[in-house]
Amino acid sequence: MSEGNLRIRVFGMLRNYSDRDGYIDLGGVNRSHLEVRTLKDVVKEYFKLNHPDFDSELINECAIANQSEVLQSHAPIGIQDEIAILPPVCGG
Amino acid sequence: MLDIRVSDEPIHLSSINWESLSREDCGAGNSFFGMVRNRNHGRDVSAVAYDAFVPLAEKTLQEICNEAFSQFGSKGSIFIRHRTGKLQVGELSVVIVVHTPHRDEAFKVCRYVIEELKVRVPIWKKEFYTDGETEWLKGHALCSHADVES
Repeated sequence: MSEGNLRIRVFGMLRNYSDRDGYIDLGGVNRSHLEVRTLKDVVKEYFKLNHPDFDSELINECAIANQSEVLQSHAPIGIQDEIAILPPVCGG
Repeated sequence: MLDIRVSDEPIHLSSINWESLSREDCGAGNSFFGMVRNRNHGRDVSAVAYDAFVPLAEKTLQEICNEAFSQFGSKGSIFIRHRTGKLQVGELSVVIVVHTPHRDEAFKVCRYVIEELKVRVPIWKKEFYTDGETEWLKGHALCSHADVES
């Protein structure tokens, strides 16, 4: 019941590969057993398949977050949460 | 009191209501302004675009401000504006204004906020160069912060 298309927001350099609204669509993903570390594997596979010019190992340096916190590697991906993938930051 | 906003609204020092930021129990004020520089790592820069995950950026800035007050034993007010969108050379990208009871913590709190902002707040910077090329700047990974705190 938690199977469905998973769209995640992307920022920074990953926007080069997103749609106009800043999302990438990972396709059908079962969110009920998805953790941050396994989501990263899904994202890496997405880039290998769709954007082979992108070094997918850079995903290892990205964080996964919802709107209120950066999630730890073993954290589950909530069914309702909007999920974002955050490259290394450099504000200011 | 914290007044924090990350937005595409241009920052003009003349539009800041400085008197409203001060408090009767604060005898010191300190501020930091960041603006777009015309040269970085040997390349001529014409503009910078800032991207941000706004809700998490503003929440993280609140956490940083509270940490600063806690760490330096102070109370007071902090006003922060950070830009998103494309900025030309010379435009203000970030403004931090701190008011505290004494000068020592005003300097320390202001310094703490800008240093932590640069490594913890989900904001990204893309430089536009005069030769027509662009580049997203490398930064600090947030995943290590999340796992260290577990």
